[in-house]
Amino acid sequence: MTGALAYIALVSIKNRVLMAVRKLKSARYLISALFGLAYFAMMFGRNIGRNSKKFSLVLGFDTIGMDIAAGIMFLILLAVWAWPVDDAGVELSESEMQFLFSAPVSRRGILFYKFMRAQLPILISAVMTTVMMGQWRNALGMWFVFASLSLYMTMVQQMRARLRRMHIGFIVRLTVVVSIITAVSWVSIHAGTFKNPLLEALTFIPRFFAMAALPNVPLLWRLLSFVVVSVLGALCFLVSASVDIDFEEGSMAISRRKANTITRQRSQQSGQWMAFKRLPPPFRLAATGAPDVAIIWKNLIASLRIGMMPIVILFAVMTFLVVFSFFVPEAANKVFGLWMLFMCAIIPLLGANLFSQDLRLDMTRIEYLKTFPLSGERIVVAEMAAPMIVMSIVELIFLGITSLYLHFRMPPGGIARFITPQSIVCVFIFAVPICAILTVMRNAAVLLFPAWTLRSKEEPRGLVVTGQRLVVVVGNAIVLAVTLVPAAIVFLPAVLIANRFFSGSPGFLAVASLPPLAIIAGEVWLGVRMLGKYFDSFDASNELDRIMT
Amino acid sequence: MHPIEVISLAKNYGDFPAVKDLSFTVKEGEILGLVGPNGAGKTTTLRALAGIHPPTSGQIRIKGYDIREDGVDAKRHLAFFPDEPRLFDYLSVDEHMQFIGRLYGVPDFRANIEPLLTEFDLLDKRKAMPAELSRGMKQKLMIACGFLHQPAVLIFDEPLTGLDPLGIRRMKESIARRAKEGASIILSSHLLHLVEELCDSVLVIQNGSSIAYGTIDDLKWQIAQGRGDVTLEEAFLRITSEEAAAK
Repeated sequence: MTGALAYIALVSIKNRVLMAVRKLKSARYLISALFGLAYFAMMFGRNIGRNSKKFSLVLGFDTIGMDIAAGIMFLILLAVWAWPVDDAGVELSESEMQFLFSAPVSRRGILFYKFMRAQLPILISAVMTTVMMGQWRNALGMWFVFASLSLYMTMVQQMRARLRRMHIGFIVRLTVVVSIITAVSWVSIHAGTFKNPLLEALTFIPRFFAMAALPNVPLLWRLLSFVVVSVLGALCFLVSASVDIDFEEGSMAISRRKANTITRQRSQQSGQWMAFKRLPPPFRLAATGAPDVAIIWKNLIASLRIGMMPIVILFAVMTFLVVFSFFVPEAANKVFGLWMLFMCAIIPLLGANLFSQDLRLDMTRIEYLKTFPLSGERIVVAEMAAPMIVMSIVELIFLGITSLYLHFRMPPGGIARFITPQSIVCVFIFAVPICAILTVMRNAAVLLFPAWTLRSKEEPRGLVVTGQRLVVVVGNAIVLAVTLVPAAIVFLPAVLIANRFFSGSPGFLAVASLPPLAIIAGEVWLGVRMLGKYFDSFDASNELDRIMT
Repeated sequence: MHPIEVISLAKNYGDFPAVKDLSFTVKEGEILGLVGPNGAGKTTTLRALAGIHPPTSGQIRIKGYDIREDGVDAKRHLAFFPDEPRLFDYLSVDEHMQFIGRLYGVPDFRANIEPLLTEFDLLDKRKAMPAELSRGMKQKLMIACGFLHQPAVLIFDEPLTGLDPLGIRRMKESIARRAKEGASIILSSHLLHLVEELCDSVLVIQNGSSIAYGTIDDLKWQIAQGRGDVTLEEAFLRITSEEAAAK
């Protein structure tokens, strides 16, 4: 039976690696992996030499660094006893529970399977940790330590469950752990040094963990530490397998908790979780007229029921600023005014993230959307309209409140000079297209890379995911910069011309703002057209497995 | 011109051909049963017909409109009912119906909502959210939404999954009634007695290709070689196993 479990564990590791490699055939995944690699190389590569020297100096055999590492290890080994969760068993997936619990597999077999399954992530963690420290030659030792620690954690988990059966709960365990730490600290402080017999005795075992993982340890000691750490791991394994507890029931409880967390995350992603479930629709939907309005209506309902919380928070902050400003000295009004202006400025930037009741919310139902009798372009526009409307309304209200506040509460001169109705209108008409550009970008990311944005918690992570995030963040920044540059270039001459010919007249605003606005609007239109075309040709079948998981 | 015309349809997933050179038509008032073993390409065919998956090659015409070239016009005339209902979690039952009514431009859709909800036993769930509905109820809501704009073409993928016995009976009556009223219907199901009971013709596909196509009586006659005493299930098993043996 052990052979079969080892086979399953190894085959699943092999398949995961193969799947990851196979995915690299797709240009999108390859680019992301390269981005991820470049990121890690940039972040850690340049520090490897520096870190290596730094760690070599402080972490050597018989150095204070080694003592500290052993002390930290002791604290970790002790602290896990105070962890509140006291269910027995191990975390398994639904299918693992279904197959393993109904099969003639002993607890030892399940623990062995779980241990084998964990080796790939443990190895990756060990390599990453040692690379970050600039000590990649210690990856093997770090692997030994992490693997043994995982067995220790499993054992402590079973022991916590056993203690619960003996009516020794979390509070008692916490009290004991805190008492031990306090007593050790007290003894050390009184002795005036951490080099005291008690502490050395307590860190005797943890020191082997430190020696296995850290640099500058003589070969003989290192080999000995490998042996000790492995023996300890094996002992923990044997204890875990023989503790008298409800292993299966506990495993199911742990696994159920994990499944619930995933379900909750998915329901938040799909819109099942609503802060204001019973809010009525914003308007009555007429039977006739443009069908696109139905999608806007639907998403406005979603905005009210799902996205209302950020609006409430933003308004609460704004109200607080306005009300509180009446209770502070007049000199502080300027600070409040600036805070309000700051809030107006961040709404276009934050709004596109806060109000995501558009394609991002409906991506899991893209098959259904594709059956709608509307062109891709109209679906994309209608999907994005609701967050745009919400953002615009919030921005307009905030700008109104801020301008009134600055007009009445700010001392004349300074920033108040610029707060004219014209400038407020100008800010507003620029804020809306910027919101639109950001919304188009966010929706484009979802449509172009659905597997990235709708990643489930169970999917493997790593370089590719890091690369994907970087591609999205860097891509957003580049696209935003590129789209705003032409408008900014046009804005300057437009202001000069307006100033020369329409200074002091209402025409000034129109002449100064219309050319850059036209450029931004044109870019939004182009973006929407491209997205619409992409939506029409979007083949959900190629992305289906990732979208539907 | 038939309401549904499929000519040499092919659909590949990467290098894998899921559907190969499939051709068939469905007349007004006809119910075509699409049957085949698991992985035969039934759902892929139906999704291509509904305009969800773009075909790799071939032509699909719904009421004369090419699903690729005139997708919007084609979709106005059809309703697709997937095996797994995917509703909007933030809309109530009633709001789903209103949404669909406006989307398909159904004049005075509010008057039609109540009879449909009554037909599918959902009237008392009008205000309920999808999370408060059972799987069967979600399926019924999806079907009620699809019926609201009285489409000329109805495409069902396993329509009876998750329904209770009364729901099954009502669903069968609803499908039969819509066909009598002139709708062209494609129904994919593994329940061969349902296909035998409801359908006029049947298309058997295996490994993405058509292996038998005709009226149910013709098919049974062909299999029984003149005896005429086989069920559709026997005919299906004989055809698919012969095809597998030939391969």
